Amino acid sequence: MLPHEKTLVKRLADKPFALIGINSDGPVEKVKEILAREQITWRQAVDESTDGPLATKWNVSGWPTIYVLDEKGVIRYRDVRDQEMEDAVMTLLAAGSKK
Amino acid sequence: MRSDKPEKKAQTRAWFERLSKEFGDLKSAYGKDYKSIAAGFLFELDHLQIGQIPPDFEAIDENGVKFKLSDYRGKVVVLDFWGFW
Repeated sequence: MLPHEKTLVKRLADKPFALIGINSDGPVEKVKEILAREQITWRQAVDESTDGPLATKWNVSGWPTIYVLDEKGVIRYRDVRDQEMEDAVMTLLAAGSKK
Repeated sequence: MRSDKPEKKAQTRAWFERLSKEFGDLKSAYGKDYKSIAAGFLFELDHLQIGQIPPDFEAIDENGVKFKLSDYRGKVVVLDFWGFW
C-alpha cells in the first residue's frame, strides 16, 4: 500500500484529493517517528492503537481497512487497495470534474 | 460486513440485536463484551455502507491539530486505517 500511496499523493498534489491515514501505531511521538522514517507526507489521525476510538467506532477488525469517499462525502468504495484504490480515486476525480 | 439487500440487512440487524440482548455481558476471546461487538457491527451496518455518508468525526493529527472528516468535503478522500506494525 505505502509505495502506491506515496506515488498517488505526489501525482494528485494539485487535485481535490486527500489521503488520510488513521494510524494505530501509538501516540503522537511514535507516529511522527514513523512518518519521518518512512517519508509519509499525508495527514494522520492519531488513533493510538488498534483499539483506538475511531477504529472501535468504525468496527475495524482487519488492517488495513480502506474507505473511498467522493467529494460529497459519500462512501463509494470499500476495501480497495493499490491499483484498485488508485482506479477508484481516478474514477471519482474524473466524475467530479465533469460537473 | 456489507449488506446491500434490505432483507439481508434486516436479518443481520436482528441477529446483532439479539446477540447484544441475550449475550451482551459475555466476553469474547479478545475480552470484549458482545454488547460492544454488536454495537460496532450495527454502526457499520447503519452508517458505513457504500452509498452512505458516514457520521462526521473529529481527530487529532500528528502535529496535535484537531480536524474533522467534514473539513474534506469537496475532495475525493481515501480513509486508510493502518499501522506500520
